[in-house]
Amino acid sequence: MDEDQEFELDELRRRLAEAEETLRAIYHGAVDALVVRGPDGPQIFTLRGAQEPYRALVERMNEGALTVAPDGTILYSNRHFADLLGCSLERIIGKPLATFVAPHESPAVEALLADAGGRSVRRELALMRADSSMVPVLAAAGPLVIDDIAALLLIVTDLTAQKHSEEVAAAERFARSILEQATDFVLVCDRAGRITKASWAAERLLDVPVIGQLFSEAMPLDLADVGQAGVPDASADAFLAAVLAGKSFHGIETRIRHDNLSGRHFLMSAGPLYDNEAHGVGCILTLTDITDRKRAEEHQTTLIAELNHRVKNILAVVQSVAWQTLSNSASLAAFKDGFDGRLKAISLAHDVLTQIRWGHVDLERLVAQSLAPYGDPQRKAKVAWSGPRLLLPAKAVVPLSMVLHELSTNAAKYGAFSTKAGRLALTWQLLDNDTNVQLTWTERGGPPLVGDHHAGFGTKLISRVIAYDLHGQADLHFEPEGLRCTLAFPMPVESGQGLGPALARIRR
Amino acid sequence: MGSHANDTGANGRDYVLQLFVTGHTEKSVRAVRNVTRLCEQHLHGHYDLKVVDLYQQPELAAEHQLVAAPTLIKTLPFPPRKLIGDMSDSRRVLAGLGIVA
Repeated sequence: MDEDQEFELDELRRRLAEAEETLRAIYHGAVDALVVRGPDGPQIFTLRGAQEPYRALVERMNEGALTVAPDGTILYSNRHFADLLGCSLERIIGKPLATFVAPHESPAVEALLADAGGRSVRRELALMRADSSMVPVLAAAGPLVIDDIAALLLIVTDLTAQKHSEEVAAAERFARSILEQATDFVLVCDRAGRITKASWAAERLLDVPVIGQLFSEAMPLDLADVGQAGVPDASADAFLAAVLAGKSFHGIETRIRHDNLSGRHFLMSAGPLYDNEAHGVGCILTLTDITDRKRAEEHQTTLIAELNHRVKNILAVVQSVAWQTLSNSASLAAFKDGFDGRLKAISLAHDVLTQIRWGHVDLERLVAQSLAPYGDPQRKAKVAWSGPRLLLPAKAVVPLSMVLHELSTNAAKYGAFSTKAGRLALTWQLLDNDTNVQLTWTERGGPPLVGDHHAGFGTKLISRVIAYDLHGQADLHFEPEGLRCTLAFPMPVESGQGLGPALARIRR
Repeated sequence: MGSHANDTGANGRDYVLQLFVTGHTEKSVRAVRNVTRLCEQHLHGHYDLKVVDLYQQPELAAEHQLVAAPTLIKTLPFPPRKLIGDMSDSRRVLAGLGIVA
């Protein structure tokens, strides 16, 4: 026999051995299925027919089904489990179950397999797919006996959808709690402009449930600045249309034409809402009540204007006082004295105004402050004043201070304050049903007065101020015993104008 | 890890094996268990075993000219071998695969 024949003989022997082996296996019942060629390809004939319905169930069920040996080896897996793992079946059967579980879950799997030997157990696990991503599953395991092999049956259910639903539900709850807590208007609208969610505060402020209503009907807007918003008109429809079309807005001032909210100002922000596929699904709007803030701003603007007005007035007064003092002063030294004194009086007057916050001042306080430099603390009788409690508005403070200053300066130069023996008595009273004020300044004990004192600037100022700023009259009597001055003016009424016009107008 | 988890047991070469079973049936389940155990004990680290469920991939039966299941086919090392049954007779299986126990 040559080599070829030898080889052919060996091949025949091998095939014969194989055939014998096959027949032997079938004869001894070592197989449980035969492969028979049918018209559509090979057909598997299970020798135990009763298994067919169960097999079909397991293959087609919507869960993963596994048979696992007690040591964790996968003996069988259905296609669904393989799909769950993104793996081919051949790579699963025969491998340990732990291969397909997230590493940190290994102890859990071991525990599951250990417990399932005696009873049914369930556990949530994370499986690791072929691409290393995780899939959350519920594994239900129980004992299974295949002949004399103790194995475990596992049914594995994909929980991805459920976890997603849980996440969605949690997000919903979170959004809802934000809406509960928000203290301002927060509204969510759908694409048709209908309100689908509203903060609790919004419903309370509007007094009616707003869910389901059109935004433009529930919240009729009145935009403050149409140009700023870049919309065609000030109505809610135009604004909402712009937002739903994809535009975002921040800090738009608006009012709301609703009985509960008239007179209130709001700051509004709005933006479109998109779903996972980037389709517009509606919009969200928030409105914050800024009425108080706006009022504060307006008040501040008014105050600044008022302040400006007063400062200008004062500058005018100082200018005219300087000019007049200068033209009535024989020397620069005399000017300095005179001007200094008058400036100080104005300054002190403003101290008082600041102290009373430009409100009302007690006349006695004003008098005390003006005459303080001239009173000798040891001899209280030098300066005495008395009168009923009298509150004067801010606009009377500077005029009166200036008058008192002139009278005092005069007294210091020629009158009661120029000698030790001199005394001043200042009294005031209310006349004619509290509508008129009368002040009387009486100097006694000073040097005898001689000459004409009416031409001095000081006396002119006194007359002018009383006349123009306080709408009254000043009578100065230079009696030989001393000056007696009577000031009469109507009780001033607060008008918020600050300084009188006379002081600003004194010019020559 | 068997005591034979060395090169000697595996003849220093790698085994490519395919086990064809029919789903969940009794002999198939046994065959899977037996074969995996044998491979781990005698061929640890030197084998590539694929288990094919003929119910789910019946077309592969024709490819390998299968007649019955379970069937274990050794593709490598040469020569190819076909073993039929539930593989519970370890000695027979090892001999058939050419593995010296």
